[in-house]
Amino acid sequence: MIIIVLSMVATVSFAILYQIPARAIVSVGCLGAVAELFAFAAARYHVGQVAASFAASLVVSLLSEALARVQRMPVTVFAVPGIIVLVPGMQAYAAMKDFVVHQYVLGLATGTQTVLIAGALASGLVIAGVLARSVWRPRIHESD
Amino acid sequence: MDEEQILHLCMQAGCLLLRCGGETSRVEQTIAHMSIGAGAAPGSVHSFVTPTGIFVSMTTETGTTTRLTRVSGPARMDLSKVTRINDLSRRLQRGAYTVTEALAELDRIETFAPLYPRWIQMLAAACSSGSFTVIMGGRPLDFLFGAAGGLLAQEITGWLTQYAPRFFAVLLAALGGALLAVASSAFGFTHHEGAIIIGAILPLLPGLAVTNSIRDLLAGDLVAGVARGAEAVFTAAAIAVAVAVAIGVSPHLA
Repeated sequence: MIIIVLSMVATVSFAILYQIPARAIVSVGCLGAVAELFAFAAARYHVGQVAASFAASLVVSLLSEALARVQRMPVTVFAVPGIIVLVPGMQAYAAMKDFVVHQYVLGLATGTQTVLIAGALASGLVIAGVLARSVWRPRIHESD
Repeated sequence: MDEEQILHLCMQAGCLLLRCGGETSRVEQTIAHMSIGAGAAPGSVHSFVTPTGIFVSMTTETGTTTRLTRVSGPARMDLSKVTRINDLSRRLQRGAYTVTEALAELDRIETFAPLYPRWIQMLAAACSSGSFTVIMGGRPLDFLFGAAGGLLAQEITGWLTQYAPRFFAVLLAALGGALLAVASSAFGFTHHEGAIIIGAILPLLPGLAVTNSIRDLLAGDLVAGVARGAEAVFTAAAIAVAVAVAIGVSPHLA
């Protein structure tokens, strides 16, 4: 529970660093909580981390696209802070640590996992973007 | 309708968007919409935008006018300005502004102080890093160390980007944050140096660059997408090197 609250705090603080408009802050905080909820549920039900990251990123990006259209703001306002709690920081750190202590094989394994998770996050963004572009036909200027 | 003025408006809006962290595809789109809103015939204004420069040309019966502007590196990311320019362009198209009014409004947007004052930004840097430290498995007390590391990293980047290329600034900032984490662990304040390092460097991650790169590639802006992607990879590599150095140093401390 405290983790969810913290992820909201982290997401909102991150949003402030990027100077997002004040009326987007509440929705951005909720996005962060949704992302963390997904990561949490995935760990609970032993879903693979790559699959979980992909699902979470897809949901967060789709929500961002929807929010961007409802609140009439650029998608990046929501997607960038929303996805930040999903970044595989721990794995990247572990991989670097393995390399430094000359555990190259271990480092490669963790490093590969990091890259896969990052790739999953990116694909989530891509697929949500493609879906949004095909569902909401860009009207004159309201698209994004 | 004055084509000089229309081109000037497009350039101003484009430059500002690009420097505040808008994607190039958004810049091209905004230029197209704004020029129509300002009274240019649809299809008469063409633009080619890259992360470091904007070309706009406008064709009328009398001939073609072309403008080119070099955009020097991103100023500070400011998505609220991107949103405001977006709104402006939409309203211009609806006819709520004349070209002169739009230019004045653009100047006003450019000179806006950051939406959040400096102390709030420092607080935000500290809070985000502290929260991430705890999310990544640190104890509640580690919040403080993470927050200090994040604040340090944020201040170093803010100060250094004025003098040095961005990824060099990020390298030093990540080094500062990570060394602080390593030191706090070496002097026995905590056992979670990993969580603190991650918390401290997280605000430096090129999140906006990655997102913009993907959105540009999706929109078919291959040059811009690849360039932004390269920027993101360089930044990530700089952070990785800094973390590796900090971990390498840690056994020799204390």
